[in-house]
Amino acid sequence: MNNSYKEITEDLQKTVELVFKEEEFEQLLAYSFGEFSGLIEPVIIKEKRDFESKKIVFTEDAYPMLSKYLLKNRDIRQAVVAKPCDTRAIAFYISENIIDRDNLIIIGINGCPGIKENTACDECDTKNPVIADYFVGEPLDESEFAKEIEEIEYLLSDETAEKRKKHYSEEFSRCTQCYACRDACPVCYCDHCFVESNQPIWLEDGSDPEEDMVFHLMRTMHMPGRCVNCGACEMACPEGIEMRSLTSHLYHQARRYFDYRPGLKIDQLSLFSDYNEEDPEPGFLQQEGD
Amino acid sequence: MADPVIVIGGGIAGIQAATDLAEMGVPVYLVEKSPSLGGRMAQLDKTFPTNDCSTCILAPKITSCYNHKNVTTYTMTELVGVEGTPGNFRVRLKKRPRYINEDKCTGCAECFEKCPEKIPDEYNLGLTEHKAVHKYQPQAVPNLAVIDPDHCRKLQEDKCGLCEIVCNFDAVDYSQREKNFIVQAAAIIFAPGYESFDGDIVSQYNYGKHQDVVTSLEFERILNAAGPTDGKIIRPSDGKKVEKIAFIHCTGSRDFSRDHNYCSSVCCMYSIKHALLTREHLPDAAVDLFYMDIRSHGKGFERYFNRAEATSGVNFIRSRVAEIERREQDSRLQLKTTGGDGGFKSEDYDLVVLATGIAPKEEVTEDLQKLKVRTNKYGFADTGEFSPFVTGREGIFACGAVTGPKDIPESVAEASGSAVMAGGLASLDIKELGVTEAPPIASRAVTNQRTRIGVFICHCGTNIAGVIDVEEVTKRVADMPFVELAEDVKYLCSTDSQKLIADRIEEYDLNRILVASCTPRTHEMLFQDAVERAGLNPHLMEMTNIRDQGSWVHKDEKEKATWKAYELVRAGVARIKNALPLERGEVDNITRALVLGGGVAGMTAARELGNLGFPVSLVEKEEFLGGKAASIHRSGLGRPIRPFLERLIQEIKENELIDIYSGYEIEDISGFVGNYQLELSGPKAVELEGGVVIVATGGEELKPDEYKYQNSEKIMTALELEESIENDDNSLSDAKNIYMIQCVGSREEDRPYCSRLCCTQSLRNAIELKKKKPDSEITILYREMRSYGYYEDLYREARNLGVNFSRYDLETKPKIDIVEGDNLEIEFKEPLTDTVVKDNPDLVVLAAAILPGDDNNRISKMLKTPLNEDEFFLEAHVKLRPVDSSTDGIFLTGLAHGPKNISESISQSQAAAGRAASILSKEFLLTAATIAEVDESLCIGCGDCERVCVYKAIEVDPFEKKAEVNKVLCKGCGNCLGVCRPHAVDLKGFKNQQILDEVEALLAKDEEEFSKGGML
Amino acid sequence: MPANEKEEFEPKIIAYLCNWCSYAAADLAGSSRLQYPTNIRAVRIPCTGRLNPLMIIKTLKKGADGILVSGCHPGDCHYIDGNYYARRRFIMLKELLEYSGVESERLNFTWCSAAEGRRFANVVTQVVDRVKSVGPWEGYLDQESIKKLEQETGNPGSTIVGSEGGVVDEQFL
Repeated sequence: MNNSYKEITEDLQKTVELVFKEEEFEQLLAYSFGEFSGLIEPVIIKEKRDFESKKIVFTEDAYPMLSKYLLKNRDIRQAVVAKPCDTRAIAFYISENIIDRDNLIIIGINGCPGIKENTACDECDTKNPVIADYFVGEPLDESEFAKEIEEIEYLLSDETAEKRKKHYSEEFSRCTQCYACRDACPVCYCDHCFVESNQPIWLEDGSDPEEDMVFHLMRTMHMPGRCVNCGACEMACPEGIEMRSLTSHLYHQARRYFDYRPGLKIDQLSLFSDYNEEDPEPGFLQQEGD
Repeated sequence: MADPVIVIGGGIAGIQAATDLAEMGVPVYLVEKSPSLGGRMAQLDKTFPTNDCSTCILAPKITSCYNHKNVTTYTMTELVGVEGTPGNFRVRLKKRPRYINEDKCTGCAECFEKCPEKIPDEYNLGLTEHKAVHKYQPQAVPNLAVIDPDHCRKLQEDKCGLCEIVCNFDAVDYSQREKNFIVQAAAIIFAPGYESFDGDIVSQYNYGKHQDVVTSLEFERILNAAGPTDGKIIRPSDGKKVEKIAFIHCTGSRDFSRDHNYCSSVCCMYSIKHALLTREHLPDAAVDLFYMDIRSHGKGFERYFNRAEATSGVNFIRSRVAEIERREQDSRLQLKTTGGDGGFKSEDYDLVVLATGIAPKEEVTEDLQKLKVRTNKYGFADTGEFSPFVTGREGIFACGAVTGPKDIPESVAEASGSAVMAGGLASLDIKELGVTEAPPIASRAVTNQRTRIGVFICHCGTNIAGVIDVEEVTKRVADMPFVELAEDVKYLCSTDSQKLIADRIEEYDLNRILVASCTPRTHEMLFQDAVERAGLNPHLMEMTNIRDQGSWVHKDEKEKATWKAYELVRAGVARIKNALPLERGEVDNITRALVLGGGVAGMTAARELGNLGFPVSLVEKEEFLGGKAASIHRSGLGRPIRPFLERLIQEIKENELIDIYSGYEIEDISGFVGNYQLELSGPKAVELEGGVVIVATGGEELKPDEYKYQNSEKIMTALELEESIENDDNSLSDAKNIYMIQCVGSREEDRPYCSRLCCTQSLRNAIELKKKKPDSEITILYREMRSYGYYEDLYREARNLGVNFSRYDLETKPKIDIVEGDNLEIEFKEPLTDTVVKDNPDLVVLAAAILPGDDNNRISKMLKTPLNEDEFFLEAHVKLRPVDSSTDGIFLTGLAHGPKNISESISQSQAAAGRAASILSKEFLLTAATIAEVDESLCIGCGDCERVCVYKAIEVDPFEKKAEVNKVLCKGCGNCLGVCRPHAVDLKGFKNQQILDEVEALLAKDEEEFSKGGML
Repeated sequence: MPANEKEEFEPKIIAYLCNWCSYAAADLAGSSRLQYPTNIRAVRIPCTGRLNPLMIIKTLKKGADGILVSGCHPGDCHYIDGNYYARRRFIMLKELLEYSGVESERLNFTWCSAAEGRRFANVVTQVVDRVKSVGPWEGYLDQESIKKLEQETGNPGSTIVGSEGGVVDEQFL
């Protein structure tokens, strides 16, 4: 059974208090309710008294990936409330030496009950943290969420290619290239994104609606072996574009072909910086006599 | 300038020797009898144990050797005689007429089609035909035609002459005559190769009578995609599908009755390769291999053998084939084999492949006489066990299969070793050597200039112009932006045209050149030189291939081919317009070698380098020098090691250039080629630096944990026995009944490699004991007897002396027990009688495995150079770079690299010295021009580039978190670009922008279409 | 494409060939005078490992009807293991593009050794047939959907470059 939001919130508050007592750090990243909006939002807590004034919670709306916020201050010691998918992103940062493990205090959420309207949570294969210093809630037995690759259904996986092409043509027609999907993604952290490159120009300015689609294809192609399938991209889209099926497809295919899932360990090689001589060659051209 | 060296034989050994010498700055004459370089290896399809494509790995090596400015190649040239003395030989040569002017022929092949005379194709071993005027092979180097005078109608009957008529280069010259000439050389390297057994050896199996009996070399051609059957395995007699195929090992080898008692060393492995490739080509075929012993004694070979054994459909049958008959009814081949029970069995096959062994070439035997080099009893050149390339005549060195049967990596290693020996006579002058590779200075300013492109489009006679409307293409390209000049030329590769390009550069102030003609793979260097002479950086020239990948492959589609050519040229223009001058950087090189290990391997390498004049620092962790050899007494063939070892130690101690640090431990190694730092601890802390590192850290003998070893004094290892024999121990005098157990700890699940030297070691020990005490009873329990090469003679000698041999399997290992105090009991299964034998031996000798050095892991990490699965150091390429590691400037030798005997260690160390000398001989190291570069503002320091770079040429600075390219190490493969997410790495000469521009131009729609009538 | 041959679709296929094996195979096909269709346009690269997947996305965007990438056979890479890394990327790229509606016939990956001139010619013929079988490439978007959207909204939501230069949102015109 998943933990309830209430249970997690209660445990979380106790744990954070403990963390303040036991650890030294410069800031804590957590969720709280917005002062004016009343909606859930990320908060940065620097001092204990702020913690007392801000009520730290975990709700079904806690979709922002706090792991991403860690990247803004890589050189200071930070504590972070991390959903299991956040912990995978964090493991990925450590594997790429982006953040020093010693600079992190990870408060991981066990048995994550998921986020409302986030379709990624339906496919979730990591409901406990892969790396954490403090744990909140009871861990969930793996048998309750682990699935064989064959059992996994994900968005559009049953559709025909033609249908999907139509689907993406329609969906991406709403894209304004605001890059919210990119900005929300915890594992997208280049200082200069390829979309801004003018030498060479990967993505052209202006008139062509196809470029919107090309943007999403290129973005997706940067994702295999990094995307932890958290769904933040889609949650962030102001146009409500369903684009996660692309990354999700590659996420599951990488598992199928290479038994690869990103961010499970802190010393994991990325998908593309490793190979196996016996890797499959699906759809490669064959000739008679091969 | 150093004195020249002559290399006779243009196969892989000759090519390696020539290249190494040329890299040391020695001028080389490379002499090849046939019309093309490449030798036997060029005829092979794949190579074991990696199944690498032979051409793919060999071709770049041939080209770079042929194009090396210090190498002069004479093809179709034979040795006549040698006069003079070491340091000053006069070598008389004879060049057979090619009937083709080598300066004029472009290898365009236009004449072949017209030639009316078909003859068997020698390169394909007569399995196909080509014309009397032909190329020796499609990828011949030099890329020249040749006329077979015995079949040419013009030369025979003074008729025809068609080739002369169609040749656009005026290259056919029927008047050519044999030419004799003399070259001066300081030393001679003889690497003429081998031939396969033929004559009655193969006719015993009805080869020549039945077409479906083929030799292994013929089978290589059959397997080859460019071979006579396009890589299809079919019956030569009727082209029918092959369902069942037999391979007969030891055809002619290990055959005392035919004076070929030696083992050819390579046939087991290539037959296993053939079996595996057959299954790849024909997944349903039944493959049977008939063998005596499987000799997979090389590095990685045992695993390959295991793989074949596990492949379904591949059956290894330990049996001799008595005869082969062809069945009349279905014309299949019937093999009669001797079974284990002494009876005969017969089985039908579609194709039979004879694993014909390695024999000395007949003409080589004559050459050896001309050289006054003595041969051994089998007709191979005779060299010493402790001086593997030194022939009986001073100044003449032999390498490759001319000194005995061996495989490619051994030949390559010997070639590098011979290069070192020959280099010693060529008076290397280190200071001068830096000059030989100094980068030329481009005088013409390019940056901040308007781009002015000159496009030159070649007709190649009718080769291109016969299909492509060159004038039309030229006209169209002339209108493109940035194109200052577009000109079509009849033959761009002619000397006149080279001058024309230079003149045009001057006249039009061109700063980018596009040449549209043949393939850059063969002609890029020529045109780069041409623009360079005109003062332009060579990388401001690019080529567009409109012949090999244009007119030649679209003969009947003139219009489309023209359009394609136009698009390709247009794309070339788009690409070249952003080209920048690329410089090869100079990096300081420390001309000192660091040798790790003071055993025979390390000392030999140090001695050779010291003899060449390079300073060496040699590090040994023990107080004494000698390593393993200090505890071994006899060489492979039984010569005493001690005197050799003492002399070697004395030599290196006496050489002032060699500093010895014995009793020192290696603390740390850092740096890269040209600039390594080595920290030592010991009597005092020492820091050393050098340009190269030679890893000769040795290995260990296994101390067995089975067969009750260490429980009884009567059980010892083979090495311990050798010591006892040498000391004439009393313990041996009582031993009358002796058992030797082979493969102790080798070829098992957790150590799946062969330790290579234990079979010969046991044979030698058995012979020694038997000679001392003829009445002693000696039994060798073995799995496969691996007395490869000449060591087969030991096997024979042992059997003649009455040594017993009994085979066991991994499942039926012998058992040893200690009974009644200190008595031994052995129990084993005798396979011939299928009975269990019990006996009470006086002595049991265990042939213990060779283990990798326990320091290998640590040193490997410090050097950033990998180990193989068995924890021996891994070479850069198992075939062609056997002593190089994948990290530049690090060389491997001796037991650190894998099990081998002392003679092989010496040979490998000389090779390592040779490879090291090619780096040490340079004052500066030049970086490649097309290398990766990092835009730091884009780099996020994720380290993916570092992880995928096999050359360790790009690393993320841990503090800056930015990737940095090591310009000396980068090979320009671009693998880092493939993984870089922020596209922070780019590849000079193949920049992202250049390729995208090229693609865009290829795909751009052009409004104006060709009109059919007006064009052709 | 010549004007009067419009009746038959002549695809344009960009072939990325590694310098050491597949480009050599293409040369060998030439020196062996093997014939194959003209639709192929070779781009020489040092190694398939050099190819960034974005390059291929971009190549299709620029209008190539099909792609061929050919390197050294696994294990034969001149740079030791570049093609192994490339292989993983191709598999993922192929999955992505096919998932988004690109016909698999347009995306062709294979290996050719320097000795396989015949194989190269056959591969080219095969690739041209494959691409022809799916017709001209009209882009990543479904043209019908786009037309429908244009009719419904007058604009599929993107910006265009104004004639005076500068970017203008079409709905303000």
